[in-house]
Amino acid sequence: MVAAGKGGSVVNLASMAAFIAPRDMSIYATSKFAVLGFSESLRNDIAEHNIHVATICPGVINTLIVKNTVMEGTSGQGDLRDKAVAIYQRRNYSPQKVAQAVISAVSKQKSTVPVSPEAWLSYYAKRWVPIKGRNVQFDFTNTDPYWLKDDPFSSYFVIGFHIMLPPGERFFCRLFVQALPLITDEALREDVKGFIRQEAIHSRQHTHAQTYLERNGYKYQDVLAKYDWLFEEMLGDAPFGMRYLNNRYTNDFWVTARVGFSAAIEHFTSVAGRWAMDNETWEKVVMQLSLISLSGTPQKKLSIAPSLLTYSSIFAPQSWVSMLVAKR
Amino acid sequence: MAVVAPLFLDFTFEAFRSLAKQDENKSMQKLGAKHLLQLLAEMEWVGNRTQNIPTFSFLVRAVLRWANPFFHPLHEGDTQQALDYLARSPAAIAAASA
Repeated sequence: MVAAGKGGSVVNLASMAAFIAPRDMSIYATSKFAVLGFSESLRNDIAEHNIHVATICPGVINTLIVKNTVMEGTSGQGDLRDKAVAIYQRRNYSPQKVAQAVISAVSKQKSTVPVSPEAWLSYYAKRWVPIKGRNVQFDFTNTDPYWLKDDPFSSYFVIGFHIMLPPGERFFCRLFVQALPLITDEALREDVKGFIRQEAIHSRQHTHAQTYLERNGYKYQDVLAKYDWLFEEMLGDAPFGMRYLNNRYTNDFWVTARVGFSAAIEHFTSVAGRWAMDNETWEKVVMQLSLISLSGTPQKKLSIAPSLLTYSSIFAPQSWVSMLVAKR
Repeated sequence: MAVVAPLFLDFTFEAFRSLAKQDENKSMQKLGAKHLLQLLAEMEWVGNRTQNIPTFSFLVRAVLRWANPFFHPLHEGDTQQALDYLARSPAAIAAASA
């Protein structure tokens, strides 16, 4: 193209994974980050020859990508893989829309082009959210189900509470991304962005506790389905799961109403966090049983009790949730 | 809050029930079949005895605090306590140095 001297366009296909790098996808994310970086460099290299470079970053597109890919490791096999295939089909975002995005990228000389809402979300999440979430790590490998010694009621109560957290935290993330444009106070908006990222990390972390339940032979999928129903259907974008109630007149009201619900829910996490910090019995139990494997660093030993409640972030979000409600 | 508090407790105990029913211990299975009110009474009792979970009355007091028109979350809990905790929490230290 350079030799021909006519100019033109180069289109590289990256992925949503060029913005975010999820777990178990290190190789894929590496290659996609590389495509994005290469394209950006190439764009500068050949701009003088009047050649334009676009990078297309599609999200979850309904193609056979997951089905036909050769995967290594446990997460690429069996049920998990079938689940991933099903997600791609249910998402049903057509490849035609990606093709349209390519055409528009060429005709309008765009540079980085996310395609599909989830790709845009991760694109902006990366750019907007400047506060780095606290990336907490816990090790549940050798934990007994009666983790509070001789107290099955409390053990189950706390673990049960734990199952609710990931769907709840994902609900907060989705909701507050929708609430962001409604916030006029600049400082408040920054706080909300930090909160969104923090909740995303928490939800990931609390999912690890489910892996631990699984390892101990407990089934929790039924309960989880109920929570998903509550947070995704009843409290989803359509009020109480009724699609005909979801229109431009009700939209702002429903977002605000749900922020109000969140404020009430967060009062419980706040109170629970306060309670857990005042609590003295958990650490004793953890010391006695040495729940955490000895091969881990000794510093990690005391970390399980705090892990069960999300109180690193509860005080800040509490205040702004109520501010947000008061403002509206 | 009038809507959220009962729902919150019910959904929390829903998970408790499902776990307790899977327990090998007969007495836990029985607990799993009990009514929400009975479980709340049990929660009060166990919480007082072992201090391992908050008691039901603790939660009721928390909800009543919220109902006060002068309530503001800033007065709920102690931010300094949370910061002190973060300063000595092994997990948070590991995260900060990573």
